[in-house]
Order: sequence, then C-alpha cells, then structure tokens
Amino acid sequence: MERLRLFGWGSEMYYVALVLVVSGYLGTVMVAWQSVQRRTGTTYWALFSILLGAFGAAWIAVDASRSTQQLSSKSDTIAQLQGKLAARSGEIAQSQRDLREKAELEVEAQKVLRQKSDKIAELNRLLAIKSDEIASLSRDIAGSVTGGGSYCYFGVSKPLGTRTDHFYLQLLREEESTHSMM
Amino acid sequence: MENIHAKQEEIRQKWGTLDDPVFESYKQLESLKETHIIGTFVPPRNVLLGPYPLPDNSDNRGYEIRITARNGFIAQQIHFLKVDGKWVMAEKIFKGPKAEVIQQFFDPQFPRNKWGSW
Repeated sequence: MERLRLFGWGSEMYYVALVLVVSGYLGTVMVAWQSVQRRTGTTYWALFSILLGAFGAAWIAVDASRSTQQLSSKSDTIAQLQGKLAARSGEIAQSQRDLREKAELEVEAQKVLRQKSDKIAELNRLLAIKSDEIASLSRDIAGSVTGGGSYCYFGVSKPLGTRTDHFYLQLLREEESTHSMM
Repeated sequence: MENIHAKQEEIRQKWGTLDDPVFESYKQLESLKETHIIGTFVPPRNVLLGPYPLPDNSDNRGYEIRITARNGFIAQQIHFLKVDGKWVMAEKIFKGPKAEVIQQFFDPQFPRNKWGSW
C-alpha cells in the first residue's frame, strides 16, 4: 500500500508535526504574553496574528492528514481495482485462447467436411458413370431383342452394262446415330 | 432384327402425291403388290431382291417400300427417271409414325427441282 510521506515518515507523523507546530506557537504566545504585560497596541495585534497563524497551521495540518488518508484510501481502491483488472485480463486472455482453439477446431472441422464433400462428389461422379454404363447395357440388351436404334433399308443397285432395264434391291442395316443425309 | 416384312408398292403416276409413308389402314396394307418375309437380319447375312424391270415405254417409274420390324417401321421411296436416254434415280427413307426423313440420295443428273425437295 502506497502512502503519502513527510520526510520519509508515514502519515501518522502529521499529528506529531501538528503537536510540534502547536508547541512552537504556544512558546510564541508565551513570549507574546510577556509583551502584553507592557500593554502596547502593537502587542495585541501581534498576539491576534499569532493566534490566527496557529489556527491556520493547525487547519492545514489536519486537512493535509485527512487528504493523505483519503489518498491512501483511493490508492487502496485503485490497487484493488488493478488486482481485479489483472484477474479480468487473465480471464479475457483465457477466453481469447478458448476462442482461438474453438476457431481452429472449426477450421479443422470445415476442412474435414470439405474433404468429405469432395469424396461424395467423386462418388456421385462414379455413380453417374456406372448409371450411364448400366443404361447403355440396358439399351444394348433391349437392342439385342428389338433391334435397338438400328434400321434396315434397301440399297438400289442401278442398271449396269447392257441390261439397263432392271434393278436389284439389297437389304442394308444401319445404326440410327450414324445415318447421314446424302 | 427379326421378322422383317418388306413390302413393295408400285406408285405408278402418284409419286409426287404420296407424302405420308405411314399405313393408313389394313386395307392399304393388303393392297401392296409384293411382300417378303425376311426374318432375322444380322450382317453378314445378305438379302438381295430382284431383278425388277424398268419400263421401255415410259421415262418415269416410282416405288415405295415398307419395312416393318420390332423396333419400328421404315418407308422408302424410290424414283427412277430417264434423262438423255439413261435411268437416274433418287430415294428418300422415312422412319416412324411422323415419317421423319432420316436418309436421302439422288443421282447428280436427277432434276431435283422437278420433285420439290428432291
């Protein structure tokens, strides 16, 4: 606890200083009282000034002591607040550490989630490929029974050589996807 | 491809008016001139029909062929035309009930504008 000091002493020494000041003024009053025996006007004015100064000195000493006590009390309060602030700072630092750990955990979780999503997308892609293969096989199976997308038509063999008065028809098969407009 | 029935119909002078190759009635099917039941057709099996004569006293002859199979039917129009004493030909192949043209062919000497889209 920090206290206001006077010549290196504690605040209790103000009372000692007050007593010393009052003793000093008492001595001065005694000297003044001897002067009063002669009863001059200046002597009464000096006595009045001495009493007034003693009263002011005592007032200042008491007030300084009170201020020192108040200051000391304030210092105690400030120290308590500083202690509480330090404790709060520790709590805040701990909270920040917790938040950082939570954020790191969240980032890690998101990373894992992204990896899982990529894996699911890859599996979906493979599934789509397999589905296409199954659909193609199904078409092939159906096509092996019904003929699929193929069709037949007759190719015309045009009259050749000396016999130009007749033609032949030859059956041809073609896949629908490969037909062309000639 | 199994049980192919190849139907051939001579169109005579109505070549340009038979736009719809789809059978309209069983009666029309019965009116076809010549029918062949071919059966399963898988290459390298070869089916050759003919010979079919071209007229000496005319310079114009048309045919329509109907092919019925399990997976649909095909109509094929063939038209012969005598140009400068030589027979030239053009053909169109239709598929399905909407008679979609899936293939067509014509000789370079065949007068296309004479037959519309040919």
